[in-house]
Amino acid sequence: MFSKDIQTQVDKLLSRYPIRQNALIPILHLAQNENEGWLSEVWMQHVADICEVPLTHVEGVVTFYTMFRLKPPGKYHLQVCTCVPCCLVGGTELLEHTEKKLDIHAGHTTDDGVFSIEEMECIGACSFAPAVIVNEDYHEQVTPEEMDKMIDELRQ
Amino acid sequence: MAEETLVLFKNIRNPKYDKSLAAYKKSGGFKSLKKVFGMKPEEVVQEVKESGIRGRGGAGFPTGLKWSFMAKGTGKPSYLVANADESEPGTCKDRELMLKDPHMFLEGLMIGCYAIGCHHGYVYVRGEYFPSIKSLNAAVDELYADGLLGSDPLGSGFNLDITIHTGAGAYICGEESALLDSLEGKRGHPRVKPPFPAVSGFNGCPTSVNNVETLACMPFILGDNGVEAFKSFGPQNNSGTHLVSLSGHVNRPGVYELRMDVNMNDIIYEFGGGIRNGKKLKGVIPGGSSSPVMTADEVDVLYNFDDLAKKGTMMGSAAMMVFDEDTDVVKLLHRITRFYAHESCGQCTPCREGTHWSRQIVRDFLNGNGSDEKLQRLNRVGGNMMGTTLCALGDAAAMPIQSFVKKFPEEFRKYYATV
Amino acid sequence: MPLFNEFYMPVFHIDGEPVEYEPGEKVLSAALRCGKIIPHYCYHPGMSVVATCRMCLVDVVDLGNGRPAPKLQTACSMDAAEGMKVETLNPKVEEGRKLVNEFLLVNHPLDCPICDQSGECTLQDYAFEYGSGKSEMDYSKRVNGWRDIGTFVSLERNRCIQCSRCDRFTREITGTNEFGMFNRGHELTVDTYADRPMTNKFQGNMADICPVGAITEKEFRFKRRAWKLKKNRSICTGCSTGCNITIEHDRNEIFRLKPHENQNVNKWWLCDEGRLTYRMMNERKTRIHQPLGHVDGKLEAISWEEAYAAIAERVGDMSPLPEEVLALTDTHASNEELFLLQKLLKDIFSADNTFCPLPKWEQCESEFFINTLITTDKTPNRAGALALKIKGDAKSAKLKKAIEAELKVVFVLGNPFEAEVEVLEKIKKAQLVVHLGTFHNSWSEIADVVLPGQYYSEKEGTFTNKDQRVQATEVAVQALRRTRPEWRILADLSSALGQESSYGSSADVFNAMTKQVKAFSGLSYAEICGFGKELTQKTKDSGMKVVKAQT
Repeated sequence: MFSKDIQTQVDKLLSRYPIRQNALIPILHLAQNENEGWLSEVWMQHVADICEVPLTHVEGVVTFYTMFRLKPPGKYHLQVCTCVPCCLVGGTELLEHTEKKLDIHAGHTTDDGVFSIEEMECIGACSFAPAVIVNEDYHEQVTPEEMDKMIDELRQ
Repeated sequence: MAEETLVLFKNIRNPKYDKSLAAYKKSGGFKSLKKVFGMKPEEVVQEVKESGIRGRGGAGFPTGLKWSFMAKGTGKPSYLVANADESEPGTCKDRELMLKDPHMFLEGLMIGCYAIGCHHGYVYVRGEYFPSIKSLNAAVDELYADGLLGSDPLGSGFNLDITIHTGAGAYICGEESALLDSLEGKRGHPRVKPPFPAVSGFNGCPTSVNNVETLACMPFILGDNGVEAFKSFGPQNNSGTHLVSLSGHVNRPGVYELRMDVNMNDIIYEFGGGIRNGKKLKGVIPGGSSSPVMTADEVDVLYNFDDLAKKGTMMGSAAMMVFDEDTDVVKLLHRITRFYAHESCGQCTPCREGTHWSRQIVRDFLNGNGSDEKLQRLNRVGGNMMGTTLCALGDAAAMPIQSFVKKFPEEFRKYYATV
Repeated sequence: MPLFNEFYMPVFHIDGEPVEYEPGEKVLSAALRCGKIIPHYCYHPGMSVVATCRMCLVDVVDLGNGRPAPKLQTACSMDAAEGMKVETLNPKVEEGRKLVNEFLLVNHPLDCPICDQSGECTLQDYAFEYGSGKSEMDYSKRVNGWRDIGTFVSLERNRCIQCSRCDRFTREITGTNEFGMFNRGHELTVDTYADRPMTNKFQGNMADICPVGAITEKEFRFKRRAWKLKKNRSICTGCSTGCNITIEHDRNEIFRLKPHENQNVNKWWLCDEGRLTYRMMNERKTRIHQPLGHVDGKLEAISWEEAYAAIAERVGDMSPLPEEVLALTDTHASNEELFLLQKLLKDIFSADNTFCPLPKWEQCESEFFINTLITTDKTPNRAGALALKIKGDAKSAKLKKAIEAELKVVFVLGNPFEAEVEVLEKIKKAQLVVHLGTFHNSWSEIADVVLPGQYYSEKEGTFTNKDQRVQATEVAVQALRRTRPEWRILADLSSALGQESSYGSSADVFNAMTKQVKAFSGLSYAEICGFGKELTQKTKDSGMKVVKAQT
């Protein structure tokens, strides 16, 4: 089910740990990336077979960690931090602004599937707050105007 | 402006540094590792003990002592796991090291591996740290290409591997036993201790879990005269420099490398440039959101483990969050309780129910339904999580609640008092 | 301090009282063993320790080295140590229990009026003891739905207190991994996750181990309040393992069977099939209610005296030779019944033609102990028949030979050889057929006299399980009015046919058996009624085959 390049990465990962189960979380990340940002039951079963663990175990792991998604995100997943330090310098307002601009609440995707918003706990950019992660890129000291600009550019 | 004391940030503060292996070696990198390979592992542990370095992840436990606890003669392999699951709100220092000078940290990790006899070190990086993961993977590739990792680094005969492992979004996985469970491919539930990781950790083998910054100090400590120099940077039992993540309402938030004898006022006003927009200071959360809050008149104290402990708070992960006179303290506490409610693993009763319930009470205040009775209740619920939980998250959730109620009771009363 | 030797067990103190412990044992385990109650939810002696409920917090005032523990410790995870002093009754511990109880009730619904667990719920008991009686939580509780999680049990997720016993059960005990924990924080829930009901054969145990009414047995749902049930110990007769059970009944109706702990037989467990044997115990329609005799071609109710008199008369007329007398029994009969049946033939007719079916059977082998509980031999006393040297007949070959003779008197106990139509036809031709049984079957159809016996829940009797351990049943419910226990019927028959016997009880028969049958020598009835005892002289069973469990 994995594409050839990713399968090579999976095999390499399995060789780096004494027990196959140890590689579960990194392999779940790879599976999620292959499946456009979310994990379906088919993929979870596939990873369960690779790591030789029961499906119930994989489901337990997937529901525990916030980064594993059970429904597809938007093409650009906007992860806005509103935790303590970001909250002190306008993180909450930034989130509200983004929700208003895209007309959706956090935890949802726009109808055209282009953007989704997620409210994050501390993402570790506290001294450079407010911070946002777009897919895998950090954007720091983001003002509402910069957020608008970024969304407009991404829409192109 | 006040000056940083550059040990960890020695290379990072050099604008021409490109973090490549070549650049790191040029600035003196891997000399310590070479020296360490010529020592006996117990000697390395002894030096680390003498340097007095304490864990930089938040607990402040003496690292040399931790390494000496590693069980020996079990017939099982030993492991060193670097804790790069930096999730304590306010903390953003480990990422600086991983992004901008990964080799210093990796050399420290390799020194640690040698000291405890570990042939395969793991770095558990939080899943959201995509840039750091890329940076570390590239650095590890460089090391393998150079022969510094693999079967015979520097001709020592001590085969050494490093694997970068990603987490998937859970603050609780910063707790060492939960980290080990996560590393094993399970849910991140903290374990019952004893047995401690030094006896039974990763896959049941003796393991030591250490913070990134702690390990990054090792090249310096094991360098020439490192121990004495390290001790000279702070008062007794608080040796070395440390990375302070300054955030909040200051003019110059950022990560600063400071000695352990700098006054908190200096950090806020000299390094941080004072409160922005000319406002007055209201309070500081000194060591990550888990630490008891300090009011403005309490910050005349040296910023290190022991001095802050004497004041009834803690330095934790050295994450200072400064807030000004316009800050709504109750809203701040609400955000903090919301954080802990979200991050509780749910295993043990007090934390699972207490974090959520305390958040509901604080929200009640924000909704205008506060009362003296509810304030007492909030304090009681928070206090009930202290010392009764399986891991320290219960204590970490309890301390902000109790300290906010104790130090800012008028802020709460503003929400319901009509008189 | 005495040196360690095999007779010395180290001691620590709980509330000033010395408690012996085995090195490596936890404080809670030692305390419970000595009868000290420390409240707990997540601890279970058969599963790993997780120390997550925090209810067993105790105050360790001396760790064994002169220093106290810095805070309250969970007794289930604390290793007992020499010189340790633990307090479980001081105000600190009470505070600890109170706060844990309060936290548990924050999201637990007040379902007691409609919850099956009410009356045997530890949360209820501890809330009564440690609760404040008044809730300070004025927000809405989290709501999760009811889930159909298996063929035998259902899950009420609202009531779950996240003790994780059920999660550990399917992982460590059955190895089927059907259950798990999902989500995090106060959304933490146990479930089968997707719509995948459990199919393992031991689901009833999950209802047993659940401390609250989250997992309940479907079979028992809403049928009776736990505090109305009377309990009697007994043995499951569903297969040859003989798991120890308690029969729980009210006003002579049996509502459920629960396992009784016996470390040598079933540990803490009972399979679902075994639990369902309670249905037969309540079955009345197909029972034989009174003695019956063939009068003018029809089976009619007669009295016991008439029955015995008729049999004695017919036997007196016939004066049969040994080879003209036959006894058939199945291995559902107790040791006493088999013994007396054999004795009847020997004493009255000098015959030894007693047959029972002994088909081959399989014992499961598995890395999970619980899988070894179910055997394919669905009778409780095969080993008893072997020990008493009753002619077992796997293929009915020996029996077919024996019935070639012109049979005069045949005694049939229970429902042996039911599928053998040939045998039935031959036996039909015998001059006198006496059937002792509990349920109407093909033997009672053709018998001349039918004598009603009693079912396991109604009588005392001993049974020998697959490991040749003798165990006893207790009288749980009142027997049908005009039935008698089979041991008594056989003793009375013997008297009627000329051989007096002086047995006053089933125990008397057992004691006589220990004196007359080598395999049972040396056994004491009191010990049998405790946790059973293995035969000192075992018989090899060539019909047993060990197979590996299917995963």
